[in-house]
Amino acid sequence: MHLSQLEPDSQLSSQLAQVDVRIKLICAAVLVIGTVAIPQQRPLGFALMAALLVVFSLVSRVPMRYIAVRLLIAAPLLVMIAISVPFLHGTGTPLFTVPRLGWTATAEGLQAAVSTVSKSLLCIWTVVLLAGTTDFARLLEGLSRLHVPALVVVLMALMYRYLFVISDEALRMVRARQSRGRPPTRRYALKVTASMIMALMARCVKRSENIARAMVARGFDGHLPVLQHECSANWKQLAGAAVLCLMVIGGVAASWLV
Amino acid sequence: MTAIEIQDLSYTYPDGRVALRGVNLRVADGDVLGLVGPNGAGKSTLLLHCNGLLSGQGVVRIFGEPITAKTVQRIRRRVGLVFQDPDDQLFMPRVFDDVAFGLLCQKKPAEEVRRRVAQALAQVGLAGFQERFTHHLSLGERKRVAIATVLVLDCDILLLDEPTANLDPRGRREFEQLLAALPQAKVIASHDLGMIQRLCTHVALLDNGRIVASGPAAEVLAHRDLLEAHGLQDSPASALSAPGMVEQLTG
Repeated sequence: MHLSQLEPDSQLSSQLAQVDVRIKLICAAVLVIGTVAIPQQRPLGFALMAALLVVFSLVSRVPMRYIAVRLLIAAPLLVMIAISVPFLHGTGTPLFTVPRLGWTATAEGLQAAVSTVSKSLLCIWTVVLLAGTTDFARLLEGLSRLHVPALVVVLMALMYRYLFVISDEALRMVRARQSRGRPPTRRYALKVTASMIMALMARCVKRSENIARAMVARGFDGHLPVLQHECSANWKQLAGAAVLCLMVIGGVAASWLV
Repeated sequence: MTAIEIQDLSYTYPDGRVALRGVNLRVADGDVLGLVGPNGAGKSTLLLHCNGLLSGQGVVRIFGEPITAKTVQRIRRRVGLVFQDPDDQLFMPRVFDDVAFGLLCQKKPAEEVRRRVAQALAQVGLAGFQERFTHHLSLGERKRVAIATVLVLDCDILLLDEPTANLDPRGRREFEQLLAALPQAKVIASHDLGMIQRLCTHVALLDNGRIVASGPAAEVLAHRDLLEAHGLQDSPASALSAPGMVEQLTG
């Protein structure tokens, strides 16, 4: 998959897209922290959070396919969690034992796996909605205005810019390798791949020197200057964000207390 | 008035490679100097010295002011450096942010930043490109944006490292027209002798860190033996017309 497929074809005309980026960032953070804080024995909490995200997805007009593709990126990690966590719960009600290996899956372990996978999916969904309704440059500006350390914002900006440059470079290297035939053995193929990764890293180091020079040449002093756009926050947005945050905090508190 | 004056400049990279050996050079205000020489001759290193990004032994003066730790920030506002690879020069995701970068570093007001960015982009023929993502642009467009990133600073001197490298003939021609229209003093490091001939008033031939020849462009570029001895040829058309070459190809 080429990296350009990961680019946000953001729905920047939707109602959610017009919300001030700082409000969106804070709401997304509250949703993520709220999701993580739901106790694993409360599937209803996950269902309510999912319902909330479905509503936001519809309002945002971000296509479901766009969300699904990005959720799939996390699939390998989630599959690993789903397979391994049921066996990691030391004590609990045994469900089954893997022959020969002797690993025993427990009901509690299974519940932990379902909970972890659900939380991960909900958190990624939240972030995908944020990215899908926010221009990346505005996102950086919002982080900067929320006083996220300048170094983090600079790194995010450079990472976004150069992911595409480096992936193109990697693609060219892979094509150059393929054009010269298939490695005769798997061992040799691995060696070639490792060499390519090293060469790519060396090129990245060289490029980073040039980028640093280009930045210094135009007056960079370690702080990323961002043009402040007009504040688009209004009372309606603030009230909506406050209601959402109270709902999430109240819901999580209830799930722990009840 | 002298825009750039370099006196006895030498530089050795940390790995021990000697890049410049006692370089002396003068560029008058409004002049266009072509810096030619084979790969590894020290052209890019010399350009980096003129912007204060490297500092070797010797003196570099910009409009009479020597580059020192105290003056370097002020001098960088007057000297715009355009790197060979626009992907090195353009480090921000969006065109607007990249062109505005230098102005924002100078803490210019938002309204002025917007106005000057729009002007600079219009000057390089990319009006309305502010919201475009850099990685969506063609090489020619990225090269133009790279020029805009320094034009926006109202520089008095432009340093251009291989500005037409990797461009197709039409892109090269359009880029030459753009450079010709810029009034600043320019130093253009390039192997493209055709472009050097068309754009430059003076030429300096650099090889192995030394200035081998310098003078009016027409005079230096007329020394074909000298150019060939230092790994350069004149335009491809002339090369093809060399005695024996046409017969060899057609025969």
